[in-house]
Amino acid sequence: MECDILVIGAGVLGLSSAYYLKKRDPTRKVTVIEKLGGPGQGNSAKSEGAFRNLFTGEANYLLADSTIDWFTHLEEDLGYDLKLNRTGYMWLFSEDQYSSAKEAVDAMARRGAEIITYDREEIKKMIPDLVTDFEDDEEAELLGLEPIDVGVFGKKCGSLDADSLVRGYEQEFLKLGGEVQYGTEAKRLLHKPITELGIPGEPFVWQESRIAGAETSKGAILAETTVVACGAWAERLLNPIGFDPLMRAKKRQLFAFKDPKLGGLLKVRGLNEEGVLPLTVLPRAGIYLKVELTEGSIWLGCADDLGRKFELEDDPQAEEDYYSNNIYHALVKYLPCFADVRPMNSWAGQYDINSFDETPIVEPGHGIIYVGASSGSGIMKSDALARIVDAVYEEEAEAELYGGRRFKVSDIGVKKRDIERERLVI
Amino acid sequence: MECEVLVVGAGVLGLSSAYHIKRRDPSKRVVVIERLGGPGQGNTAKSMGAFRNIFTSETNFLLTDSTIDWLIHLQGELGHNLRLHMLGYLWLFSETQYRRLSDPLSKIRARGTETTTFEEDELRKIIPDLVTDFSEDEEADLMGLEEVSYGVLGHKCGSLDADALAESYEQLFLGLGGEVHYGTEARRLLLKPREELGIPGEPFVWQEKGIAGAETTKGDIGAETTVVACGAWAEGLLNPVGLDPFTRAKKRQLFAFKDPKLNRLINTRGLNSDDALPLTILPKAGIHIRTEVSEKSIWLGCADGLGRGFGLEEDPKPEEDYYGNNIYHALVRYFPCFSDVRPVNSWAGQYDINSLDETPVVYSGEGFVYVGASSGSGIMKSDSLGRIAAANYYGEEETELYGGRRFRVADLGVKGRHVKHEAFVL
Repeated sequence: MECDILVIGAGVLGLSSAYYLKKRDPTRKVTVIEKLGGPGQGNSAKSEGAFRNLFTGEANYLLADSTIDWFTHLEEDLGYDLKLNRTGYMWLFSEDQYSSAKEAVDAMARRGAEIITYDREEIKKMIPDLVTDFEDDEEAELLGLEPIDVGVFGKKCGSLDADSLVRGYEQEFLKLGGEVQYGTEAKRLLHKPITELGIPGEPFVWQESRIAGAETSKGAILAETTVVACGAWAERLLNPIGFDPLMRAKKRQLFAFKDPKLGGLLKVRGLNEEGVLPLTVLPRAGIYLKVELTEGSIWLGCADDLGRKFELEDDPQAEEDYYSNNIYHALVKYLPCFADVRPMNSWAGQYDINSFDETPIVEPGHGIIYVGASSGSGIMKSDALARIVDAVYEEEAEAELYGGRRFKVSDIGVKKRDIERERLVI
Repeated sequence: MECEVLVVGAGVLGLSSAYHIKRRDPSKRVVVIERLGGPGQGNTAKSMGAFRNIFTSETNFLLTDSTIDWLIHLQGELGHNLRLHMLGYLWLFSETQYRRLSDPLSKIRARGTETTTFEEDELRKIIPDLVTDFSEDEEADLMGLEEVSYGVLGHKCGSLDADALAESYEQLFLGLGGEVHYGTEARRLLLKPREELGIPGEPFVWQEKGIAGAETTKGDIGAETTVVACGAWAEGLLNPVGLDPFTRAKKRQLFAFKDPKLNRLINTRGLNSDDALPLTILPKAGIHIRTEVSEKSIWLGCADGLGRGFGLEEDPKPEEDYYGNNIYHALVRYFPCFSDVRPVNSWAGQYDINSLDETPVVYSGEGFVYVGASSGSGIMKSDSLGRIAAANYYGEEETELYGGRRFRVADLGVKGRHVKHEAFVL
């Protein structure tokens, strides 16, 4: 089979990229292949489904802020039900943490991110279940837990249903005549000389060569351009041809809770229209919780860093003990309502982390466009990243993001990368 | 066993780091461990043993230029026989390549790097064996080989015996009372909480933690600071604790030739005081050859990019065919004297390539310093990288390179990295 553009991966980045590439010129043959059986069934499906425009890096802010506007447009104007809500992000800091983050928070506010800062008393009033100081809790002090002195609340933040988003992109892409083949796994990229000489052993090291498509589980697919958008799995395709995906995969686990004891967190007044706990980040280990409105449950995750290995897994699993004998010790000190509450569900996915600057990469070369290294924020940047992929394909210096802001595409590439390292990482 | 500083890897970077840490405070117990039987037996031993100060990035220039001064000092004043030869590096360019590089080349010259530019007819006079023009050679044209229009000779460049350099660092280090344990392999890094609580399962995700030494084939070695300096093998230690080595390993092969047909080429006059062929880079595929003065032979390598996969190998082997049925086709067009000449020897090692900016990485965190990602230029940057690793250990913002120039330590790190993508890569 042959096509103009082969997109590998029907996750949120693959389908959004395919959509913009097809939209630009619907006469192009754009084919998406995916090893799984449907859209977004890989790490997109495992995601927390949260979004924020609170990023210290200018590029990350632009990518997320414009993508959030696009979500609203998709739901309000185009009629997709993304189960979008703007319950906000509440970042909890100790005094020490806040003083080192303050400069970045102020810069975000100046940039236009809508931020409200709360002090301890205000936080206690709004979230009575939250313990903010450990003066009377020797054990918490022994555990080295940070008190809560300041809350930084971002309003243009919330959550959505990642599956619905991915399906939205898929439908728009299919409407334009795009093709998606599920159950089709890319086994390896095809490396071919630009000018074939017909000598055995091509491509030789001295030949100009390119990636000319992929060998898949359903046969070879030749393509003028191959978009590698398969997230954590990109290394399986890129390492063998010597193209560095500049990220490493790390497992992330989520635990879901539904228990009458947690009712107080579902009734938090004054922070959002829904009257629930926003996505809340505790001042230790990036433990975060969000209310899943559709099921009245609470999802909990944690930003494990040093000590959690980098490794690509085919089917990562949540570890029961990881909640009960690890996160729990700290969680229950901040939120005693979790005492003896067990998760009713748990799952695991993978982040593809760019440890250099915690920012995605869109890099063209040799017939490939690689979009990835999304570092845990691919969904909330999906629309902007896809528009950048399209601009890179068109060899345009700038991409127009949703809402009209412009983005210099080489900033997020490799050779002329101009990205400040992100400081607000979960 | 306990020590203040444990250095993992007795290659040129490990020994140089150990030496500089020990030199600055000989009272510290600094222990180097190495799985192989002697100094520099890993990829250091497999190296081309070449050095140059011709780099487009200011950082790479500083790192190499000062290291070369140190190498000259080590041999000239401290009496170490490194078999240094200032052979020069001769980059051969086509008209188009030369024009495209005119900006970086003028920047390199403006920095004070000594270079001489030769035009095609001068090159032909100096190297009569070199074919610069393929107008009569249809096949070369068909192969897409670039003609040679210019040669840029860098003078402060040459070759050395990498083994001898590793041994020198070892001697200097041992002379200060350092310890080296060969045949001792680091199996994994030990991760410990800063404050142990004595609860099973430590370190927990919410605990402050750090690297506390390594488990080795000869037992645990506890260390206040662990310096990971094992090049391509660093990923085996860092990935399991979730630290990114910012590098992927790629095999590089070298082929050695000794044949009367090559004698005129070896004895190229007028470019250096050895009257020997400088390290000469062809305008295709980074094919490079240099004189090995000690054995009057020619060593040949090649900068394979796309198509050569990333992947760490325990014992990389050269591929016979890779010369005979790959590099050879192009080489013999430029140097017909290689016609039917077979290598007398060949070997392979590994580069640890940082594809983001092709520049080494030195960063520190809780209980560790990492020095690596040297991208094929670790030997020629070994002295500066050792000093920068030591400065990381001592918590300094700046360090003095050999000769007195100052270097901002964070520039080579991750959080404050300030490095331009290197354009002159082999």
